[in-house]
Amino acid sequence: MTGELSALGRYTGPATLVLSSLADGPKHGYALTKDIEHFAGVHLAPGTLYAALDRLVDHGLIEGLEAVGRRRPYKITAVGATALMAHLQAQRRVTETGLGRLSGEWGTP
Amino acid sequence: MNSVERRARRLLRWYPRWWRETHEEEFVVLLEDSMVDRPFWPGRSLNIVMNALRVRSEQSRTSYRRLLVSSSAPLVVLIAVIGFATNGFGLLSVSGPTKGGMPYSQNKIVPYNKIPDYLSVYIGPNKVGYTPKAYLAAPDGSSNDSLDGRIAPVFASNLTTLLGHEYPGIGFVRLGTSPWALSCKPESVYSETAGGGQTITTIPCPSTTLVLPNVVGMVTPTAVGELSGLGVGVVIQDVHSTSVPLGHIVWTSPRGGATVHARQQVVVGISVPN
Repeated sequence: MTGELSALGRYTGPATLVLSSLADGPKHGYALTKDIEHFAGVHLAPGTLYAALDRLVDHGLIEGLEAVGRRRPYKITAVGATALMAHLQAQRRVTETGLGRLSGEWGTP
Repeated sequence: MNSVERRARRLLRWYPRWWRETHEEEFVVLLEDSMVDRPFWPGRSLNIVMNALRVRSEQSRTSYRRLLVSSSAPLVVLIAVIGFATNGFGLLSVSGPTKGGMPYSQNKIVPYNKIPDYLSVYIGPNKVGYTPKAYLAAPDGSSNDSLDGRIAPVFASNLTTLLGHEYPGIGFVRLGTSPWALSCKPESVYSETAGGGQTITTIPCPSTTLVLPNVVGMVTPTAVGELSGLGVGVVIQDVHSTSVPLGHIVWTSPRGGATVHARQQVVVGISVPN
């Protein structure tokens, strides 16, 4: 299933990036932005990032931790990890199917 | 206040006050970092304005969620306690509009699309939370369709949802998967004996014992689906593990192979990052 993540509608993309970034430990807003830039090449604008964070918190997929200075780190929850894994596994099936058929029909890229 | 901070705070005023109360400081820092790191980003301000307007437009629709997640925790606990004390699930009714209210009575079957996104509220030490519908509806990782669209509400004094959070009050379970939660009480039947006396027969709940399968190493949706399908109550606990991959089961208590009561609670440790 794509489950809860796809239930986030237009925020599914940013939410997947945020959850993937938090999967190796808590990060605050700007650390998230930089990390996502690094591994996905996507510049998440601040408004989009916070919209995604809000929804992820609403759905219980991440939680805000005690602020460190003026920065608040966010942490993935067990539910969030589960949802991310289900979502990524579904995406992997699509990726593998697509790549497989491309290599059959269009030759190895 | 430097000019970057001033610009950041000015942009933030597009967001409603209640949003700023919980997010202002962290958001201003993020904006400052962003502006310093990437001074020229034409779309950034517009992005903030658009998202702020969206927050304002969604405000009335989702105010009950906001109350749950953005108010200070003590207030929510207070409201929740009052809610439970008055009518068991008063929280949602006092805290704003829901999808068609809460038209549920005990053991009545309700269609999936009539259930609010947030099913239940749990209160623990320093913690208030809720169970998202999506997880409860499809703990085995299947799509919501496999539910047949049906969930049964359950009342109990110490209820454990499929998600595993304990709270007093009301909860919902998938029909047919969790007999443990369907609040079975042993029933006493009185009958007259030939000599004029009375015998009391107690009819036990249908559940019996079962051998717990070993789910260690499985991914969480599969494991929880398997366990809750057997009827045991599943309590999920975060475990910081470096050896077990994220989202997989690290241990269960009792262990696999143990004989458990079908309505017993099983704690499963799930690997989460630190």
